Amino acid sequence: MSEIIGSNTVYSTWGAMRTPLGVDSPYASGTVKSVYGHNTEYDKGFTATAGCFIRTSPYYNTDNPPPRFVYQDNTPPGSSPTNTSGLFYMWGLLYDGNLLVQDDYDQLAGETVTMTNGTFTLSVDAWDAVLGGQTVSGGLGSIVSIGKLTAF
Amino acid sequence: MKNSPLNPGVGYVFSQQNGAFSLDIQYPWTEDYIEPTYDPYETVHPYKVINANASTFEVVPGTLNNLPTLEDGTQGATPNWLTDVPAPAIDWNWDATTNKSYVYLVAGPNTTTSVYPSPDSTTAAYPGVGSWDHTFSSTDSYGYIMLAEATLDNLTGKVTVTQYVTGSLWSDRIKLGTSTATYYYARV
Repeated sequence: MSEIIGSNTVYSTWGAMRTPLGVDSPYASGTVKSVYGHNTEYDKGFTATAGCFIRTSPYYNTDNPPPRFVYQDNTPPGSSPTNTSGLFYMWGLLYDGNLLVQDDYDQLAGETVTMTNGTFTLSVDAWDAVLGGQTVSGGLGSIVSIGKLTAF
Repeated sequence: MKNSPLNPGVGYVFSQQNGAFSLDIQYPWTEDYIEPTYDPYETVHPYKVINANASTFEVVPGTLNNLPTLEDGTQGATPNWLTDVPAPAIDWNWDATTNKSYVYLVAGPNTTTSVYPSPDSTTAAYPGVGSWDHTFSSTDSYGYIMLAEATLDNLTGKVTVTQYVTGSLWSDRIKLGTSTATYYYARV
């Protein structure tokens, strides 16, 4: 008798095809999730309503950190606020737009992203981190909420 | 050779007619002698509650994440494995008002390594089966899945078991932020 699906270190029930979404920098030293034997703890992120997880691409390996939203503030130190810029994208070890199922990408596009210092509308550009993601304003601070997602 | 006489006993009589003897059974067989009837579709499966009487029950051995199961509360030096022969007779805990009892499979993460379910059979978080007089909600420390629910007829002592889980299980523990951990189960 062995696992049904998934791996022998993280979850192997239906959850192997679903995950909460993280919110972090891909280069951050903080822990997005802690993985023990069949026990995964996420520090912070997003779920769908009522704690439901997001359907991941069949290609996504849940051994990896969950796909996460990243805001990258490219404001040069000391620059004028009018010259600031930022990037917003979903990051994961598969960063070619194959992290989630298409239906969930469609559900999220057009949602309002609320930052500590402003808001913007999430566009499909955010799904492709290789191309740089979605260009937004700089100096927006941290991600607070994303449309129909529920933060934890 | 001399034949021994045969006297009628309780519940049957002999009679003689036309030179032949007849044996007349006056009463139906008592239940002890009736071949038990059973549902041909009913099968024994892991975690099935069996041999239930008003005081105790047994559970068919099953596994959680490939770990064989104990009688809950016996984790330690002298564990009662469900695979023991004879099988452990687990005590019912009845709700005095509703006459109900709930059979749960309980397991949690190891408090030292966080591996779930705890693979150390000496720890309380190792998978165990027991009976409680109330229902549970899972906590960060323990996940509870109800295997069966039972009702005791106080007049006859008859126990009616409603079985909910019909096989061994695979489980994951997932905790989001500060929310209470959630335990997911799949039958294997």
